[in-house]
Amino acid sequence: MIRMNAKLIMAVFGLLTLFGLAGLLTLGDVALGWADYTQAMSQPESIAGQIIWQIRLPRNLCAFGVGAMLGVAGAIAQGYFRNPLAEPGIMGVSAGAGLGAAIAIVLGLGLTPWAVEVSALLFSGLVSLIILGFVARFPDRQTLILLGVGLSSLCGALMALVFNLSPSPVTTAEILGWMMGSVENRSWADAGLALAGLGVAALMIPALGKGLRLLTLGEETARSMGVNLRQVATLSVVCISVLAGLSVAVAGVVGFVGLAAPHFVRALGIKDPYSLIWPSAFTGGFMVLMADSAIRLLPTSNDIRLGVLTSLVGAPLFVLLAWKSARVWAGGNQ
Amino acid sequence: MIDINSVSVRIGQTMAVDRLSTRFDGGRLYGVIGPNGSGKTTLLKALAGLLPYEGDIRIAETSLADMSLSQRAAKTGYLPQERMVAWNLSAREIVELGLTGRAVSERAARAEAMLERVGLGACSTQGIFALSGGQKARVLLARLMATQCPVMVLDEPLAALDPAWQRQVLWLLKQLAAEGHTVVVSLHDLGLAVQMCDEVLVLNEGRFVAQGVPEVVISPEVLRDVFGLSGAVRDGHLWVEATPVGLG
Repeated sequence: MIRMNAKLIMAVFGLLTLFGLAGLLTLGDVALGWADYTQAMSQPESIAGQIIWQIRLPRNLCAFGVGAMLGVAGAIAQGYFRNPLAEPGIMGVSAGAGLGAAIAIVLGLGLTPWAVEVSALLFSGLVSLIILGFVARFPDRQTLILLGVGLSSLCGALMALVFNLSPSPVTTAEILGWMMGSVENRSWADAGLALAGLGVAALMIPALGKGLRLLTLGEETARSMGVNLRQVATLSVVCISVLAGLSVAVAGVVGFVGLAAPHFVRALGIKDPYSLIWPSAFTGGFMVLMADSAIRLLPTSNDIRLGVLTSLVGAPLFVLLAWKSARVWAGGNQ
Repeated sequence: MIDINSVSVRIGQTMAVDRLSTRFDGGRLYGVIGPNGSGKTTLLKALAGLLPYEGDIRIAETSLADMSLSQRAAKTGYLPQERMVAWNLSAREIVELGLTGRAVSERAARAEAMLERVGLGACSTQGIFALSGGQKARVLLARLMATQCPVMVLDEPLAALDPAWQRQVLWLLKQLAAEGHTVVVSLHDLGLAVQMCDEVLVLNEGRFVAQGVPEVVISPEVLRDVFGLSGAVRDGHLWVEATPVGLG
């Protein structure tokens, strides 16, 4: 198996993303040649310029940003919960954001600028506050997982109620479309939201380093080595909540990336739960960018949704990885 | 080095350690012995600052309660019974976790040296999941040794080790004690405690029973009343009847 260090992974996937972006900007319903490309660069107001600067580039950046946020959130979730099956939705924040978006749509605010995003953020924030309230009293990961399962189920039940009370099949279809994820027609502001999420995470992640690493050896060892578990829990919850909430607000529910991106980095040789956070951003970002580009470029009569494709492509790859890793995992924790 | 003054630890409704007072000096290897549920692990966790307690524990004249998390971590190293490792880090990366905050070059060199000391120098790049239970236990011991804390507290470090490595590990701990560390270790093997420990502390139902050199402390009465065994220490070795007291 190929082994790479964290910087090399980020460099490789960063370059792949840059080359991918440069190439993908010319591809789509309207194919752009080299002349159009150079014109778009020199004259942003031209047709080619508008296609690239107003449609394709923000969409591609959104796709990369959402994937990066999910990758980082997944890596932190797996590190904090010490669980390879943890993913950004583990605490119910994604389900809360999805519920918020669904409520905004059912209230007829689907076409109001920013209404769906703001509602998704409000609900994810509400779920996060409940979790943080729990963390303040019980900074224990098992309690948090149980709470997350409870909150996810509650949000799922409320979502079912929203469907149940939906005024029309069109509204139901609109909610379903949101739930399946998309970065179609996203603006620079959406890309900015994703960037802001990553910026907030970047400020907090360095403070998680010692805690996430030492939690590898269990909570008792970590505490005995001076780790403040309450602080690690709070920072982890805030990071995961911000990133998961923003990703749903920007692109709806894009499944599987937060779970798979850290595992791809592990497969490349990084096992340290802190060192794999930023490489997971690059692999996650690249995965979603490629998935969205495939959706744009595949000649299908109906649009395949982003979340559907990430799961369709990612799941078999993940099964392959799990199969290859099975012996290694089976040897652990005897 | 460690002064324990009337320390009690309550776990739920149970008084797991009851008004215990004793002292552990630097440069000696202490074995904490007692039957299951006697309070060994609870006492060790309290020494590592992992459990709330009543009374006073002082390390190098400073009360544990007055220390910050980092001060406490710098004074006391702790190896728990639980040997779960969440991720498949290499043996060297695991040992380097005990050197958090040191320069990268120092970490690597010290980790390699500690792995050599526990006989795993050849396994430094191997993933921890690929190691046997005994090897894993030694890697975790190397992680503790790398901290160089003046006080080292180990909860049943011999579990999963073969007889040769049980003695080898106790020799390593004796060496650490000889270097000036205060080493406190909970043990179930009374024979090894007699052979290897400078002193033993006997606990029963959370209470202090006796403390001192093993030959004196592990008397036929202690063996009978605390451990339910019939036997005695002769010529530095423990002799125990095959049948426990009351079953014969």
